[in-house]
Amino acid sequence: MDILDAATERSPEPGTPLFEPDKKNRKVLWIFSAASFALFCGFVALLLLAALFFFSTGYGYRAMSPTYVQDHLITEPLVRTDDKGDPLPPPDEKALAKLAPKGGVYIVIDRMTNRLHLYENGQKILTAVVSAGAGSILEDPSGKRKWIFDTPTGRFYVKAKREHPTWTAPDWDYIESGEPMPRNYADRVQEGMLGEYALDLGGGPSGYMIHGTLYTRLLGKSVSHGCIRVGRDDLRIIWKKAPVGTPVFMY
Amino acid sequence: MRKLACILLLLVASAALWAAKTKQAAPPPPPPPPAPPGERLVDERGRLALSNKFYLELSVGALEIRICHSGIAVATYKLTSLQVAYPRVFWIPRQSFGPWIDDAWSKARLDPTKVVQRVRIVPGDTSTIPTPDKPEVIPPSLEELTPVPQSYAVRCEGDRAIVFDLEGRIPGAVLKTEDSRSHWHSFLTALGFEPTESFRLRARLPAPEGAAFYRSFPDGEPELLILP
Repeated sequence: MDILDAATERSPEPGTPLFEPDKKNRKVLWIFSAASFALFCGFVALLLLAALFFFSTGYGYRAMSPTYVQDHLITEPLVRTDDKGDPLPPPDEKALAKLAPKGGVYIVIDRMTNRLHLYENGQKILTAVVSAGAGSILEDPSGKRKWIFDTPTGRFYVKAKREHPTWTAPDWDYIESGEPMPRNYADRVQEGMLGEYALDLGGGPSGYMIHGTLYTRLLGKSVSHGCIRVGRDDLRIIWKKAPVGTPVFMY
Repeated sequence: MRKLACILLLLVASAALWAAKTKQAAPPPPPPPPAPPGERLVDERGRLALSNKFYLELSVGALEIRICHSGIAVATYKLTSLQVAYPRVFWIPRQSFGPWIDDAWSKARLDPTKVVQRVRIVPGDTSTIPTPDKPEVIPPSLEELTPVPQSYAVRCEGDRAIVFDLEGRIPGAVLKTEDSRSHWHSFLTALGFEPTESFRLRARLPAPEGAAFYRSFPDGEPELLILP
């Protein structure tokens, strides 16, 4: 008997199902199907639950509202103590009153955006485009000295005002340009470099200034060696409005 | 009989406990009068104004963060939104913060730390000097030298932090950092697998404002006042 014959012999009548379950088999099949379905559903539910757990766990965020602000105010008074644990006295009223700028005039300098703001009686009356410190580093070739050309931060005061100021070039100017240092002090003095006016701010041995500049095309760029370079017209306003003693905040 | 003895014992124990508790609790001091909103930190502001240092003020109501010195707000940065962040498990908050507005935080520092990528000047370098056919070399601005991350935190003493999320394109240099804001990180933190701050605020602000605040952040771990 060849293979074809055997297949023909075993094949059922056309139209009859291959597997005819009896009553018992049918029940088993039903239980098996139901169990598989339940298992599948359980697995899907578990997955969903895990996803839900994952996404509902983490940082939650609560927005503020005026009611929220009122509800979360601390009501106990704040008592600061010194190192020994004794409460600190309240700040000195006289010292606080001294802090207030005379005539409400003060200057704020933003080193990052190279802007100078002049305030009078709490109102901004001028925003000038300036040049603040480049933040660059210069080292003496001998390796003994190093300069960082930063505009300092903090509170300063206009200590003095000078008309037609002269500039005494420091050592770094000659080192930077690679020129020999002059033997005479008088050779270091340069006229016109600082524009019409200079407002001395003190700070450091060579000091910092708000002054004019020949390089007006570089205003708005961080190019100075620490001083604040201002354009001619803006400098005239600052000169007129800011007396000696005007606070200057640089940040 | 046994039941009665038990009840009696329970009563005696409760009475003893109550007595002990009453004995421990000293007469409470008279409660201080509640400070009106925003006046709790008046003395603190005065002290900071006299300190000759920069300090920060976060105004919850005005949605602003300010850099202050000597009682003057030298720079103000507007926030888009301010939210309290709390770790939660299955929507259930793990901790409740209670009152927190009108408080002073100390030792504020940036995370990641601000780094200025300074340029070294080559002494006597004539290549940067302009000639008729060569323009002047302009050194990079501080904006280009101080990279800012898209998200950063101001961390204070006591594990308190304000996370600043910047919206939009950052002007100047950008600092690429590991994305610590991913949900996976947040998930692990909420479950206690990673250290969590005791208090966290999230502030959103436009990228130029956020970048300017980061770049101008005062040195020397300033104090931070949270105002209503």
